[in-house]
Amino acid sequence: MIGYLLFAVVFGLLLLGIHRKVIARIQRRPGPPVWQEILHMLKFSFKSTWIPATASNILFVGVVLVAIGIWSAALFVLLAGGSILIIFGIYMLHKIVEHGFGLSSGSPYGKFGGVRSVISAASEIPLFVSVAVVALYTQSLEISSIVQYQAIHGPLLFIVPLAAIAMYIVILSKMPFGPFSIVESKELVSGYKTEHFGVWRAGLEICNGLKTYVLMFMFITVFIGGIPIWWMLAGMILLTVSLSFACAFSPMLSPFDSVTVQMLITGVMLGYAAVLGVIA
Amino acid sequence: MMTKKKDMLRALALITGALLVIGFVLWQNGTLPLVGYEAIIVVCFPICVICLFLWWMAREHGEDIPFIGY
Repeated sequence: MIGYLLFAVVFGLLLLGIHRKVIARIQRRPGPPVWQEILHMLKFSFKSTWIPATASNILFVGVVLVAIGIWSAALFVLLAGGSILIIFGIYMLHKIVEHGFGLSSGSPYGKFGGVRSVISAASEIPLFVSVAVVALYTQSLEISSIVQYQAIHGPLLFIVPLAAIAMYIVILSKMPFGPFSIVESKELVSGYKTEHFGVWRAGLEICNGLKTYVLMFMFITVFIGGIPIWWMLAGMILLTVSLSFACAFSPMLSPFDSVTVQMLITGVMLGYAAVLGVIA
Repeated sequence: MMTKKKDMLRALALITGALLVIGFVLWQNGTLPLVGYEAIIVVCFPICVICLFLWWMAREHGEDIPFIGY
């Protein structure tokens, strides 16, 4: 289990490295090596670290521990085929973690990042509609039951494509350099994580690796089904590359535009769910 | 003072690391259910990693005052 957890961290960071590399190649830059995020994590872990004078000590440190802990829990729920609602609960909890990161530091950049994190909660609403549509068809919120349903009826990707697109957009909103990456946009330096440097940032990198692994794994499991691990890993790389293309070819939206687009997507998804509900 | 802090961090990393190993052994024996082992990982893994990093990081300096506006 601990071995799998470490593998998930490293592979998740590798996916983020691939993401950076693909974006760079699209922009005709050489880009960093694909293992750059793994090196980043190690580099930050060796850096001299302390707690800023203006920070709330307990929250500043505690939020890093919580960030790693919740995504570790999400990975175990996913592997056990548990309820998809628990994973989405953890996804929502991550929003509070981002907020905690920003507010604990006492830096205005961090605080703005935390506030934007709350604004971008609009991106989570399509997620719930997506889950509702999946539940409507599979009559279950257990991942193991969803996988069984797909073994009989085929991938949900082809049965409810709009729900898959909605979840894809949710994952897109969590990727760096994407159109909805308002939480970490450059005018805020590094957003909510501006003051979390050194070891704290290394901890955050571990959380990011786990989060990326869990979200990609979940998308493939929920919309394609249970597949062998090598196919799963190949699928995760393909998904990452497609997200990189989406990030590279779309502009970073301003906060209000980002929320407006996400609310429009939510509206479409609600209509879709309503139509499916009537048909079902 | 600094050495004492480093020793404490190393001890904490070792204790949580040992708990992870004990949890694994108990789970393999069938004494501890998988959920119990996973709960140990969720609690101990972040503490172990952060303490390990804080132990092996470069020498510490004074506190920093973040930029708080013009």
